[in-house]
Amino acid sequence: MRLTLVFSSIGRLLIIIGGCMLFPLLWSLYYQESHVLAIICAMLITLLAGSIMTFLFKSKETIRQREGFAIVTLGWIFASAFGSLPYLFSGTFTSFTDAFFETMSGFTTTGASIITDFETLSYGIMFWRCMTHWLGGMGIILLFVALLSQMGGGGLQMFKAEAPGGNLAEKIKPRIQESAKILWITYVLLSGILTVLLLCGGMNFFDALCHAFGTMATGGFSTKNLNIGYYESPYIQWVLIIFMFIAGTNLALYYQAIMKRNNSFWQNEEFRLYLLIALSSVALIFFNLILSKPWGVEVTARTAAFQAISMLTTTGFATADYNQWPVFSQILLILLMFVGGCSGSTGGSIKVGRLLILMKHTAVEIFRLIHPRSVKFIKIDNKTVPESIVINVLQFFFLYIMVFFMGTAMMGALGLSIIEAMTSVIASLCNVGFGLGDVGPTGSFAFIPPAGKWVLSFLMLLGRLEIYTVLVLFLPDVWKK
Amino acid sequence: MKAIIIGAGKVGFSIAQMLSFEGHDVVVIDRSTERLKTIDEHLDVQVVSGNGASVSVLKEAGVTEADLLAAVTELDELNIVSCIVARSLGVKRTIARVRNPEYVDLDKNTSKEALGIDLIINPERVTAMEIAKLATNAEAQVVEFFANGKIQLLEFEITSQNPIPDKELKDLNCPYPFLIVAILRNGKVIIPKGNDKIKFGDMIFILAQTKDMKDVERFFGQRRIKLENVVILGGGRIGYYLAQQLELRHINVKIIEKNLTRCQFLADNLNRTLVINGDGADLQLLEDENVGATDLFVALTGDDKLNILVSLLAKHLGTKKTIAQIRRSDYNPLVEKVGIDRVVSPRKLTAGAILAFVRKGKIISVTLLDDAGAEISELIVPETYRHSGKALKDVDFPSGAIVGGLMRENKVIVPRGHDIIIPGDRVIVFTLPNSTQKVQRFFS
Repeated sequence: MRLTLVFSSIGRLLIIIGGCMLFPLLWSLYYQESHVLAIICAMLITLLAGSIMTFLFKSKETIRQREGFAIVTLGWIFASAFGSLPYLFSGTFTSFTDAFFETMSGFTTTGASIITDFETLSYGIMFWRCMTHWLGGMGIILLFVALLSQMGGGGLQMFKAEAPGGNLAEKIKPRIQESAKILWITYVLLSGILTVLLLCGGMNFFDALCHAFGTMATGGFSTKNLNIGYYESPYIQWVLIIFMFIAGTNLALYYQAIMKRNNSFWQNEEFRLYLLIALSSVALIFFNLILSKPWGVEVTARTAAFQAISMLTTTGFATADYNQWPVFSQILLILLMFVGGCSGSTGGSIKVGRLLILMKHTAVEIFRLIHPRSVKFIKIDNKTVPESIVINVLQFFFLYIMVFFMGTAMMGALGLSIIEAMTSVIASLCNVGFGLGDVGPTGSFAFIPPAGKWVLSFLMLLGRLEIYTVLVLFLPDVWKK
Repeated sequence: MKAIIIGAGKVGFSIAQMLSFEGHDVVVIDRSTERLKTIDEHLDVQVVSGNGASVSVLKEAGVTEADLLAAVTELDELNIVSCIVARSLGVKRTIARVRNPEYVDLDKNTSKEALGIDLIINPERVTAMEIAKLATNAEAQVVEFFANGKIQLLEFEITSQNPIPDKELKDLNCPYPFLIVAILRNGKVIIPKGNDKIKFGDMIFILAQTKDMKDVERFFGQRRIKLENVVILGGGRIGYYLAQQLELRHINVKIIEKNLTRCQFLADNLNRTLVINGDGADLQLLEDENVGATDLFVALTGDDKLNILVSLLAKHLGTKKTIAQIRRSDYNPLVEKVGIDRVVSPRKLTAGAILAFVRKGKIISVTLLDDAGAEISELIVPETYRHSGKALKDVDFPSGAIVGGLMRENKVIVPRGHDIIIPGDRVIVFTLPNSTQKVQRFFS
């Protein structure tokens, strides 16, 4: 591992993060808030730290695989550490633990929050909070790759280490920088469209932008205490349902559908399964709710669709307190959290593509019992999935479940009830942001002891970077010269 | 016409034979003097020893005044290069045998012209297409389509299960027009007249509109077999192409192949086909894979004896129909007697396709009917046709031939004696070998 190379990249990453703090600063200046100074300080310190690191560690070498992993993982940790400065300087949080948790939750698009009263936050801080979502959604490293050239082959390593869906995600252009740019442009355009649609629904510009950030990144931070429940307009809720679904699809598909004018959505097996899961889960929850709640058809349909899509895409917006829902719906919502969006989306969790491979592999294994001599491969979109990827996915599933149980055990040891321990771990690992009970849509993560917050922060990082990228750094070999 | 054939293998031999019988000048080029010797002994052709892609050898063979060059060696690349060289030396038409689909499937419009090859023929693909055609009408021995698929020819056997009326042909009252163009009785081909009768054990060749064929078959008591399951033994090129074709027709396919790497290739490239890695001669495997319950078993390994043996095994286990690939054509008449329903030979089919191309011009297609030794050609009646407007019964149509179908302005006519032929019609003619020339003269 060539640490100079790693730190020089992280230094440049910090400069980008610092630069992004300009946007909350502008909002703060516009509203003439007292937090202007705090944000300026945070910005200057981040920029300074970044510049010093870039200056100290100069390197022209190409990034290799192991450095790629280190840059991505450490990059996310550094970004979260410096990203928590605005909270600390403005006094939003007094402890670094809380500030780090909130920032990590933002960057990883988890949306779990410690703040209990959002409406007292200043505009600048509020905007920074939503902005961390938006930056993390498409990937801060991907932004870094898109903005800075001369990455060589290392860009691809970092792209793969960070991209949701890991090695299932494909490059859409021969050059990684071009791919990164296209993904970011798609992302920015969709966010822009959503903002306009929300403005049409009567939101003010600030809230529309913040909610567009939270939706497109499948994050879940809102500017309101009641979350989306604050907006009773069916229009806004339906728009958000549609855009949460859009954010959970492979963003490369939009580019292909527009540029190549082919029917890339229907040809994509993962998308078809994603749609099927979404529709069937909405239907099941709808029928479960309509029998037990006196809400009327439209409200029930909207609430069921909103909550199911929100959990499926791991956004974590809420329009209702599902702690009051029938148990069947609650269990379905938890199962949906484990599904997540498509590979190449901004959603978290296991991903539909991996589930597709797991399901097909199961079918093949059972089939082999009857036809032991058959030679059969798993095919997705009529292309054979290489054996190595199948094993990788099986291994990933095992690790995911292991991490889930170990995390639950740790949270239990810190004194949480079994429901809260399990769901707080799911909420963090799958980057959803809400669980059941006290960590549900009406509660917050404030009551969790500091050690628990660190555990959960780590789980968010594990979940966002899809385990392998983080775990590989625990191999001593990686750090050897 | 003067033709040069490069490659004196099985296909080369067949083409040389056919062209020579038709009275063309044939020169065969091959590297192996041994193979040339065999040809020289059996056929009335000239032989030249050497590399078919070499200019001096081609010149020695008289390439400059040749009308046709067919490169049919084992090597795709050599065939392609030979055609390019010969074209530059002034040959009018070129044919290349190319088996690797990667050379052929590039772009159907451009690659052939760019290479200067008029016909690229892939024997394995031709064979697979032929078997796929048979698979769609599994009850028939021969299936052919004419006039863009609007007219169909079937050959099937009249067995004791077909309750045919004991009537003369002209008295058969079927609501759907059809024509029996030939009857194969005791190894002899009869072109039937109105007063002939059908007997048990006859193989009949029937022409009818494709959309009526189902009802015509029912009229003769022939039941259509609906193919659902097919087992292919041998995952070579033919097996691979055949599986692709059957997949398109939504038929369940199993391929049994010995070689594991080949199995992996097949599993990778085919979508719904079940690939089984195993030895086809293993009776246990055939039973495990329930071969007895399949509708069609196709044996396509490179080994004739194995194909015959396993087809018989499959038949014994209960397979409804079996098709075997036999490369040595001298076996053919024997094999169908043993109980294998149908034999295909890539070499024969290739030769047929090349022959059709050679005769091209007015003739659209020529199909060789193996067991009858006859052929069916489809042609467009030229402006110079002498008997225009005369009823068929009044013209002196060559004996040993019969007009089986007509298409005029997209309308199909199953001809009777009072029908007329006018220039521009598409006619489908069934011809016995010795009448080919007469028929060509009749329509000139």
